[in-house]
Amino acid sequence: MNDNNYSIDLKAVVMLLLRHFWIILLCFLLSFIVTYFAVEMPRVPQYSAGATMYVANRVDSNNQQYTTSNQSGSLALINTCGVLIKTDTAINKIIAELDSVDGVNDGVYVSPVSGTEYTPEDIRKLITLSSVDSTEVMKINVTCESEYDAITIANATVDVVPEFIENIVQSGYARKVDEATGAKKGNLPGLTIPAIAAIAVAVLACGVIILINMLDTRIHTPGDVAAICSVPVIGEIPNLMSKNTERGYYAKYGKYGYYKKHEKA
Amino acid sequence: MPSMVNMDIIKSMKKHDKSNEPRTGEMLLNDDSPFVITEAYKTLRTNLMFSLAAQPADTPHKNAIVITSTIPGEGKSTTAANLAIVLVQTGARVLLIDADMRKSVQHEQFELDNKKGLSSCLVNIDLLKESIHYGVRNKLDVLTAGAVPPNPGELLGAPNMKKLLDIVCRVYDHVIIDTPPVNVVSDALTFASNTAGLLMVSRSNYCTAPDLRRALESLSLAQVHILGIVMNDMHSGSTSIKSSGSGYGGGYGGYYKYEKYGYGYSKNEKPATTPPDNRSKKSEKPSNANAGGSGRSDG
Repeated sequence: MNDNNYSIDLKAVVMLLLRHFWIILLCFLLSFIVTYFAVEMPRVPQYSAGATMYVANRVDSNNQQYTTSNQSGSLALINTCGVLIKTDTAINKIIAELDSVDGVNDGVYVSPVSGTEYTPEDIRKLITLSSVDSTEVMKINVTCESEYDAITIANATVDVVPEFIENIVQSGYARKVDEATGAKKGNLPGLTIPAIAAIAVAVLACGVIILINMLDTRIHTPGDVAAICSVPVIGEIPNLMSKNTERGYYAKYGKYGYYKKHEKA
Repeated sequence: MPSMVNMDIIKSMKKHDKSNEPRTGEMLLNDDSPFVITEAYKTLRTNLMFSLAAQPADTPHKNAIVITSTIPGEGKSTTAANLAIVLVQTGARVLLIDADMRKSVQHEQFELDNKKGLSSCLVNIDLLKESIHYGVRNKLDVLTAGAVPPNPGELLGAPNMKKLLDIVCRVYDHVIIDTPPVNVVSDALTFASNTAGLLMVSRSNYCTAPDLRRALESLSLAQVHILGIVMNDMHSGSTSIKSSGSGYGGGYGGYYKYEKYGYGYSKNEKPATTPPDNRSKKSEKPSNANAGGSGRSDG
């Protein structure tokens, strides 16, 4: 009678969730909308412009053979460039190049398109260097909120870096391969995070519904009575006020003659 | 300090308590009642007949059935009245006794005079014949609760109750006795063992498993035969994800606030100490008929 173990009826769980589908749907939609407006909408689009350079160690004129050690040396040179290009000297050279664009030699680049002021520190943060597929090709990426600015800064960098590297690193050289011509638009509002959040909240809502039902000690069905005692349920009286008592085939059965006729007889 | 479970019950009782609304007979079966409801009671009648048929031959008062519930508001008075009505439809002579003297409603449902009733008969058994309301619905006779006595439990357990059952069980084919909820007062337990058995009304989405367990334990201790359980107020979408076992928690406490909801007496109310004719004005026009549950049934 007092069996402390109970199993969960999966069909009943599904039916329970279906009955509360509107709550789950509401939670899903609300969380989706809230997450979208709170997380995705404030995002500012970012433009990323890239220029490529070829960077290599100088090869001894007596030994024209290209070896693996040469390549690894070039890759190390790319890393070195990544550090060098963030130095004050390099950044100042880039700013000087950019000043020729804005026409004012004041150590600050003011974009003629966006009107944004870029200090040397801003430029330092915008530039990233990386090796393309572990080759000797170095990609200079500039990411900022203006497409024009991203392209301009990337091209200024790619103009300055070869000479700078050759002056500083005597054993290496760099050549411009491609200028930046366009910028990829990124950091756009997406649906992935809101969708994940909405699904998570909907799952949480399902869990809460099931938990509430599990903790509900009220008797709902004859099965609940059977779980408590062995006394048979000999009658099930529907809700007298429920509209369901007026619906359905069995509810209407009497209205089509049989029930009334026999009752009166 | 009441337990959380009992606080929930008290809140639920407050929510469903419509004691200021007089009980009407709109919940009783009639020609306009929905087919589903009528058939549900007829099914109950059939199942009950099977349960009664299985009674041992030496069962006392084989045709007397006690209707009760665990807590107020589960619909036992309505169930008792409607069961009596469907039993009458079989051509049987049926007496409906309102043994819930603290919170009587049958006289309101059938719109009967309640000056004389069960309490009168238990004080003076000779008043039985004149206390019964005859032919309320065809062959349905009703013995209302009568004046509110100071000691309903003792009256129901007194020898006069047995005498009364002896008399009515000889005259009627079926005697339906509407009693107070067993978890609140023990009135039903005092004489239920002297009948064919007890029918427990349990309202869906209202009665809790701990309440039902407690009621069944009380009945078991009193050695009352339980004929069955009637699930009342069933909703079509009722489901439970727990398929077996218990897993229920919660303790029991006293229903110490029960008087507030109709059972018992208020401080100003002077219970009748003399035969029913001298009952108080409040008792003559009981305006605080219970209405627990959905307002359709009392407990």
